[in-house]
Amino acid sequence: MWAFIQKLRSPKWFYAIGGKCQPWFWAAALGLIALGSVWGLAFAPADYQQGNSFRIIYVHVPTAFLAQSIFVSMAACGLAFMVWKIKLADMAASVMAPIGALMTFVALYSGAVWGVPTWGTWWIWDARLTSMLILLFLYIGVIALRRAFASLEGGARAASVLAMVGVINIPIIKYSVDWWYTLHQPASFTITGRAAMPMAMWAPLLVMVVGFYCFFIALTLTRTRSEILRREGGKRWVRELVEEGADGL
Amino acid sequence: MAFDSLADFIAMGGHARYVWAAWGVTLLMLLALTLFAWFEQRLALRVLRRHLRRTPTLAERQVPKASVTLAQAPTTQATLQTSAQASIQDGSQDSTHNRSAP
Repeated sequence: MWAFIQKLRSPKWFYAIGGKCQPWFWAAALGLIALGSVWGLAFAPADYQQGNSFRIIYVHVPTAFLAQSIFVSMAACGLAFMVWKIKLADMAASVMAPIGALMTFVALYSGAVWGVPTWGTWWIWDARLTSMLILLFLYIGVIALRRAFASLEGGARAASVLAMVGVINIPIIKYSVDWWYTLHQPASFTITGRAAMPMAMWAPLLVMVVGFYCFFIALTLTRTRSEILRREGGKRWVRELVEEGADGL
Repeated sequence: MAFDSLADFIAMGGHARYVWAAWGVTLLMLLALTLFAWFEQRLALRVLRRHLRRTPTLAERQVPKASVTLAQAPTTQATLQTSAQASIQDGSQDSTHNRSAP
């Protein structure tokens, strides 16, 4: 276990292993999202109350899941960077932030579009919606704070601290639908326990959620490797890699 | 299949504008992120290659180092300066070790 953590410190190791893993994650993401899209759009039965507008769930739930998961991973990377001084963790955190911000935006947007036919309004200051909006602002804050520093180290520390403090918003988002029950429905998708919807609707959603997670992993691997090249460009192993022509493209 | 025809599928039971607006933007985001990551990787590699071309390679750095110090040990300040000026003038040259010599 300790040897594995030591390896995780090494950008060289990550660059090599990430290069081997990323085609599989890209392929899995493409396959699962394609399958889930066709299944969810054309084959899942229409909802007896909402009709076909419920099909928005297949993009709304995966993006909302990722929006929160990415923030938690970013905070975990921030912790690893602050406690163990793992630079690779900060590189990963820096490429995750814009992905998470975009996911949060799309989750809010698809929720707003869904709200028009279902709730009769695109926005309401419901606890779930408001806490997701705060999450979007936190993402923007993390991105902006990193750029506000002249030194890489200073920006990395500030962004890590904000991510670690901001992660308190995640349980608030998760339990908001139970604590302040207003308009947004409670969780309808759980891995454990009784599903709140029939199998024919639930299965494509599971495929989409797994596909989106694979997409996030693939994207993070690719982007972190680019970030390694940017930051470690002067290192000997990078030069050896480029001179050998084996740069993983 | 939940729909009878293609027109039926596109109409989404009267909810076409909502379903396609949400799905369209989401899939567009996935595509944009993928393309961005791809271009980002290409750019990072191109910038790195350009940077490495300007600095001596590992082989170059090791071999001439010893010979340069031996050969240039007796040179005076004046000759060092002229060689510095010369290397500034033909700065476009690719052999970089005379640039780092002064």
